[in-house]
Amino acid sequence: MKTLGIIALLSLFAILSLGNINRNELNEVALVYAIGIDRESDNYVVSLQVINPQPLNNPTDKLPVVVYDTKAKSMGKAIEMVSRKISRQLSPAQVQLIIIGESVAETIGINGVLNYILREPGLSSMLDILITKDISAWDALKVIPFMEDIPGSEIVKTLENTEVNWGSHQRIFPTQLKAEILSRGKEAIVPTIMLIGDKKTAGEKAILETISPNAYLELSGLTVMNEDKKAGWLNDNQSRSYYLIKGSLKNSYFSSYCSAQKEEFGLTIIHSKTSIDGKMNNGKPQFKINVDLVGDLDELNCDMDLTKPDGIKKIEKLMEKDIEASIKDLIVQSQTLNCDFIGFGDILRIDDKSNWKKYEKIWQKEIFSTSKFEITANVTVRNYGDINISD
Amino acid sequence: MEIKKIDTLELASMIILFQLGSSIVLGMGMEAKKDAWMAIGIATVIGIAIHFCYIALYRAGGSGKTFTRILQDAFSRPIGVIIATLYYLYFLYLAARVTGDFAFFINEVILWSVSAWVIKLSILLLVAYVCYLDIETLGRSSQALTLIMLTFLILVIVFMFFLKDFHWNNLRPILEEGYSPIIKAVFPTLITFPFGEVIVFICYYQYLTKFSTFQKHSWMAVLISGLTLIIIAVLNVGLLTADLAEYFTFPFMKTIEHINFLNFIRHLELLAVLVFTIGGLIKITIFSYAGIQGLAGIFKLKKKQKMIIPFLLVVYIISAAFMNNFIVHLYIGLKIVPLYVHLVFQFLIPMLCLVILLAKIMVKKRKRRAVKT
Amino acid sequence: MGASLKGISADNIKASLGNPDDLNVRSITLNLLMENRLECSIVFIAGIADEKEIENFIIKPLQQLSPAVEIKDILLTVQKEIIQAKSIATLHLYKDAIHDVLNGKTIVIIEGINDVLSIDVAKWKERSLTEAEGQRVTKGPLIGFNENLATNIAIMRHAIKNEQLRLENYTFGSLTNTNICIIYLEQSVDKTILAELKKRLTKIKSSKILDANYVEEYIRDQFLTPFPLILTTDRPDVLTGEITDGKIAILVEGTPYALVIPALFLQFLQSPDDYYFVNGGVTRLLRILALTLAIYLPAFYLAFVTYHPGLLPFDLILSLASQREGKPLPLVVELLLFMFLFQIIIEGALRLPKGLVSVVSIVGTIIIGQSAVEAGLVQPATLLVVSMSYIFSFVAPIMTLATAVRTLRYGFILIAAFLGLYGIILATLALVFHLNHLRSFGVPYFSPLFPFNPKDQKDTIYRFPLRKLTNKHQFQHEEPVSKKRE
Repeated sequence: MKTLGIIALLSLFAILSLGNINRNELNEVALVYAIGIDRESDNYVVSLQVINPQPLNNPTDKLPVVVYDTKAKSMGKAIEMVSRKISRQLSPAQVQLIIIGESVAETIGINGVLNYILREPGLSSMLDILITKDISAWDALKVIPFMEDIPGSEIVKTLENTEVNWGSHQRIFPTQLKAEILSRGKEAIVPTIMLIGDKKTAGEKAILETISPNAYLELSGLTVMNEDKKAGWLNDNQSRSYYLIKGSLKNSYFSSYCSAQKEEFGLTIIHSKTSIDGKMNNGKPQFKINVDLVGDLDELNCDMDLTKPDGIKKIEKLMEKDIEASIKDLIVQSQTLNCDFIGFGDILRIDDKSNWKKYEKIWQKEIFSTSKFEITANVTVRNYGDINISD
Repeated sequence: MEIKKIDTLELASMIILFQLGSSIVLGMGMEAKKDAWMAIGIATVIGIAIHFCYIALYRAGGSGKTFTRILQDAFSRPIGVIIATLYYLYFLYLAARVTGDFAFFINEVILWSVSAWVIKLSILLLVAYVCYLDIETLGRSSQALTLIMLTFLILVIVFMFFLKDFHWNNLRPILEEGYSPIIKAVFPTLITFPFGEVIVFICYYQYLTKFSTFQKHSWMAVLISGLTLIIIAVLNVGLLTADLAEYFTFPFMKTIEHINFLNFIRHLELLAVLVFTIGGLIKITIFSYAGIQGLAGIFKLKKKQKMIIPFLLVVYIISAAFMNNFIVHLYIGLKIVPLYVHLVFQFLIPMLCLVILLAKIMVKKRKRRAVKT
Repeated sequence: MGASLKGISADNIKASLGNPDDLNVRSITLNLLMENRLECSIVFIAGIADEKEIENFIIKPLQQLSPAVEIKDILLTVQKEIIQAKSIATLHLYKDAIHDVLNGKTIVIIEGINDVLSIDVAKWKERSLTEAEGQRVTKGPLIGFNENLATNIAIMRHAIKNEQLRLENYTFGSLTNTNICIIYLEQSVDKTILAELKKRLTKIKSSKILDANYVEEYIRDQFLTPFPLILTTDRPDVLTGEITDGKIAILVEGTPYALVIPALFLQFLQSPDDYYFVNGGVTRLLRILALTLAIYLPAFYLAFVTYHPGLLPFDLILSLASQREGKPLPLVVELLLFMFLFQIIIEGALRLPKGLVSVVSIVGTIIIGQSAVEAGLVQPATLLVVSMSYIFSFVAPIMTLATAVRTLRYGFILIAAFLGLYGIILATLALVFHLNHLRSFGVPYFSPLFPFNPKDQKDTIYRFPLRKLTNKHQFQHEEPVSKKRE
């Protein structure tokens, strides 16, 4: 045992001197919060949003983040090249957000970026991915936040907020995204972000002096991918229908018109469930979609008597028609783009295994557009709020 | 004389830790894609059968004997010694393999910049310390560590089923590709790693207080490890989808990263590291202790202590010199070694041994009957 | 010492002891029949013999010896009929006489007779019984042992009135001749352990026994470990509990606490409080949690911040990073420096005279709490972690365990500084193996958890209701370690 002790002591010295242990105090490390990737001709343009910690009790004039950008042929190279500009070692450990510019999605495809994200051991796999629209990722990272300290944090929290309350966007993680790209029965879909207002003022601190923001980032719609390239874009309503079909809508607000006069009523949706069954019929796929919604009546601007059960039924029927129409719209959009992003192929694969095998390879190009759909929606109004009044 | 005794529960917990050791974090059975869990299930059943075969071999050799003696009884003294030495070198090689696996894992997951030799050295120092302690300590500590490991695994598993990304549909359709991927996964990879490696425990049966209890109940240990691996395979495929899980070197790590309970309990990769460290340590220790004890017996040393440092030095040299390239390491480990090395040591020779020993017993019985009449 | 052939006389005794002032020799004349007069000397050491008893029960009856009756065997008569003291014995050997005089007994030497009488009228000066200082309890008996062996034994007799209670006396220390007493219950004690204890006691070759620790170090298993292998307690109720559980207690003259063997790890987590409250079980769980955190908190803090910032929640890292700006010292140094400082303050508070203790706390708070942070030398988070760690270590019911925890803490911090979380995991595993290797008198240190004894689980981590507890512990025995192992 004594020899072991001596060996242990010697190894300790060896490890300390030769072991290449990379210790970094927190003030020697630059924590990256968000990464933005764009594409310019043959190069990746990588922008990093780096945290700039303020010392306690001594607030200085420094901004909470600094954005650096570099250009290189590969992502990894670009990130390491930033060392020439930055005084601390980059640490990807706390990256929470990756914004992929349109330029990448439209040209080379996001596989390169995604593979880098999955491969890099320092990156956590619980980060959000967004694609931009009409703006480069670099500009998106430079927008001054209004409510949070860190711009990236504002985006991430907005995404979380929307996911829970409005439902038009949901977080997607790299593993999920990659799985969807690899899958033959479904195409990938990525939440999209857009800049409202002027991009120059958005990046200047002066903007904080106005009470009502006039340049800010907003989540808008979903980008539909074909394999890993951008194929199309879904607007806000279609996005919500998408998540409704997928059954992952949490709380939302659906409205409809009571009559041709375009008076609205609205339901706060509490609970939704969808089931889809699929079958191949002589080379023509058939799908039955059933949507169940439970909501509380939130706003009623029509002339309707809710004390009788017919009133409620009428509202439910109107809502159902609306939902069926929006789902139909979504499916038509998907068939027009020849992009099965809702995942009907996957459903066939499970429900009708043998047939799927036959048509797997040509599913998207040829078969999908010939599918027939039968959509039924069931809306239940649970409550009508504190007051039961109608115009 | 040192009293050396361990009881059934202790040895059973050693078996569980040993089998789960490096298998949890690697993707077991992923060649079968979605049906990996089925492949593991089949392998578990075969594994239990293998386990009983080794027990039979031990009993046929006469309980209480060391492995060397059993081989000598079967094959005659000199050949037995040679085969025994080969086995102990085989254990040495396996100890080096696990050390290599472990170092790659730690390098990947938490200490990215540290040189691999640091990790190998540190774990082998710990193994050396444990080998200096006696078998009862190993048994008791295995109980403690199994408790820790199973607690963490249960916690992790419970959290995972509640994740929104876990879809049972990812496991369907069952048998999408038919039976052949499953069979390819089971032979020769799954049955030899991790289930066939329990042959090393033949060296440990001599320490049991009551072999009969062990004989009756120990198969449950193999079952528990098998079930755990099945659950993990289900979770991996359910969360990551089979297409993606295949590509990850350590799919379980990625799966664990997804746990996010109330936005508070996150980043449980640490637990996976703990689990693998415990398993890896026990696996290396069990191989090393058996090898050291065996070689000490062959060289007629009174105490095994003198053998510890040379043995582990060789383990270190092999793992530091030859296992530097993860890809080659994996390829050798999952494609070449099972076929050419494991099959011989885990199946061929033991089967031969068992047959010879049984034959000898039959002959003895017949002789006795002849004498009586 | 004089040879056994040396005659026992007052002069000889005086000469052997060097003519001390407190050695009193009282000469009496015994009036016997027929005008026979015998000189009689009464030898005792004032201060440790009860003078009143000597006067009333020895001198008075001897002087009032009536000459009317013929006395054949004077010694026997004096012993049986005259002396009225409660305890009397006959001595033949000179060294026994010296031994008894030194132990407070009175020697009666009768002229012409070689044997002497030894009368036990010892009255030692002792500290009155006070509250137990080492282990305090909110609800329960408060009394603690004092330094007098006889008093302590009396307290134990008071607590266990059982005919099976055995007390065996030994004397150790070639220079000090200190008495020790081992106490156990015949029916519950483990015979193997008792035999082992007796074997080890014979091996004690010390010149002095100043404290029970002198005995402890000799009889303890020779493992190299910071963990205590023998339980110490200064509370009679704890000792009663242990004795009735089948353990063996050792009381040493001059030490106000007792040793208990065998001592297992779980005992060090048990406080008498657990048994005096109806739901005492939860406190024990909290205690275990606190002690674990005491060891791991500084190590984890160091490892996470230096090596793995990605594993902490983002807001926490942000706040820690802000604190870190502009701090000159590496985190390891900060942490070790302040742990050292805290340790010194605690030591100082122990050693200073009582009046200055409050000064220490003021100085400590101001210097550490305010100035160090304001001077920009240290992070507030570091101070928080260090003080939390110390506070958690205060809950150990037995002092020796707290000391072990504090020692371990430093080891973990150093390992975390070099190898981060991986180092902590390796150190934890090494600790698990080390703890399982320890044995106290042949019993594995972690019984009854590992090795698992299903019948004995009712009082380990959580205390089950009292009526379910068993007092029968079956210990698994292994080879006890009584000499240095390599």
